[in-house]
Amino acid sequence: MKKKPIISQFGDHGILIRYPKKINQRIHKELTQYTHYLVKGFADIIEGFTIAYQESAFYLNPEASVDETIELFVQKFNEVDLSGEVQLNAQVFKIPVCYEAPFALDIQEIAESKKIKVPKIIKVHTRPVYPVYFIGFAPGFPYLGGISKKISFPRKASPRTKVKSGSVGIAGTQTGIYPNESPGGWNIIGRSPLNFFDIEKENPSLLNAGDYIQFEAIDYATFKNIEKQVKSGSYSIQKSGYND
Amino acid sequence: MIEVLQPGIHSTIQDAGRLKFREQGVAVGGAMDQHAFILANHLLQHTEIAPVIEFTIKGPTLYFYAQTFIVLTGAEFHVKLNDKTISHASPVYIPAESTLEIGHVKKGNYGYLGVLGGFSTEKVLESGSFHPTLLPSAKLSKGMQLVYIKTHFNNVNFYARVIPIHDKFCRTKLDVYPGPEFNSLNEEQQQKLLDTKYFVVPSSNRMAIQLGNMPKISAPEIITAPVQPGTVQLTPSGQLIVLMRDAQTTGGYSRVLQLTDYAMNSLSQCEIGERYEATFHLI
Repeated sequence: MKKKPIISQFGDHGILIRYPKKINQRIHKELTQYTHYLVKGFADIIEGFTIAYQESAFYLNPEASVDETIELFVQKFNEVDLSGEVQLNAQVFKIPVCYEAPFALDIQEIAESKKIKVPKIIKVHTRPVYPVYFIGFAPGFPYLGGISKKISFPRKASPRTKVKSGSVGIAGTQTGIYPNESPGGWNIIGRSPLNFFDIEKENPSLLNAGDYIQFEAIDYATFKNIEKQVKSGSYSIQKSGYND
Repeated sequence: MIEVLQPGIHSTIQDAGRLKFREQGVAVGGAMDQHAFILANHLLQHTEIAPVIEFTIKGPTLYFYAQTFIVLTGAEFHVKLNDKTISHASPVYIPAESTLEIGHVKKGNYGYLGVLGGFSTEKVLESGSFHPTLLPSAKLSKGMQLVYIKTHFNNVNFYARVIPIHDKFCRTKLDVYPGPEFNSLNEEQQQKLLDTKYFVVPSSNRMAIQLGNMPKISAPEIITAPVQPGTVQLTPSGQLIVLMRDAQTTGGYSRVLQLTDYAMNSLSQCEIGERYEATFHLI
């Protein structure tokens, strides 16, 4: 079943596509399929786009007519069979994370405050396959599906001025990865040796809307080993197909 | 080549920004007043639009090793070239071994300096614009050197100059579209939003401009959704925030209005304080 989204103008050169206001994997999947279909089909006039939970925005080059493009978007929506024509090839990326010192700055505090042992936190954090809803907030920063309530923990009262790149954190019921060194208020439970935003690549962000990830616990020696391989370019990330 | 003798308060390299990487979480960035940035390029008769230096509050002091032409656009500053005043919005010849001192701002907020042929600066993701993590080196610092290529020219004739309209810096009428959440406000709230005379509050920066003299209206948070430069957000505590060039690509506040590109350029130059007013005009 295709749900009809609302398609409207968003500023001088923008078009906004809105699905019902819900954070829902099915709605998000359809939004992502339709967005990629349009980005591909109208590559000559779409300069940039943004995907979020249930909305995406398209930014057209200034010569294109917004009104005419909206009409074409609606027409395409009525014609296309999204599930048939748009194969997203969803992939699960294995993200190695070292949940040990000196990386896991706040894991003890969570353990003590929630009365849950550190190995249990790691187990709960690495079990699910998290959907990547979209990339926002900062270059390469993934908005992931929610974590188990067992390990949810409020944001730090005062943010750190520097959080190292690759740091994996928890804020409320969200978990995420800092792709670049930046200030941040998330509770840091580990660090990944991967490079999540590489400006040398055509698509700098490692993760994209519609991908899936699973965290995998590694020890300090493995972290250092992978870090070396990432730097030399010899590391290849483990991926597997995603089945609904 | 230019050597930066004093960097000023916040002087950065800026251009049209990074338009193609928003879905990867990359802010657009670019010159706050895009009109002044394009104008600087046109006045120098550039066929290819080149990056400029943007400065605010107090500009940089620059030493030019080789001769060139420059142009200043956008906000007007107290400027001295080898201790003599020079004209605004008109190409100026810079002899070799000159010192250009850009002092405090006179009118507006953001000033621009373009150099003939453009600066040859590093680009990351197709733009030379400053970004705190992607391109931190595009912020001017003491002793930094900036390269311009064109130092030999014969009979350059610049025909155009521009007479700036000072009024735009103190009374700003902003053309807006209704935003995606405009209709979740009731009619009375919509009227209040549109009828108020706002002013720009001092905490404003390249990410967002906050407006003062708020009517008593507020709006709930939304599920994080796309935003862009010019998106006007109304917060649960009743603040009105206009996102500017360095804003994030997604946001969680109600998007009540959306500025036109033209209005965004005007707002960027609207001076801080209660003496200066900004109003919205629905188009």
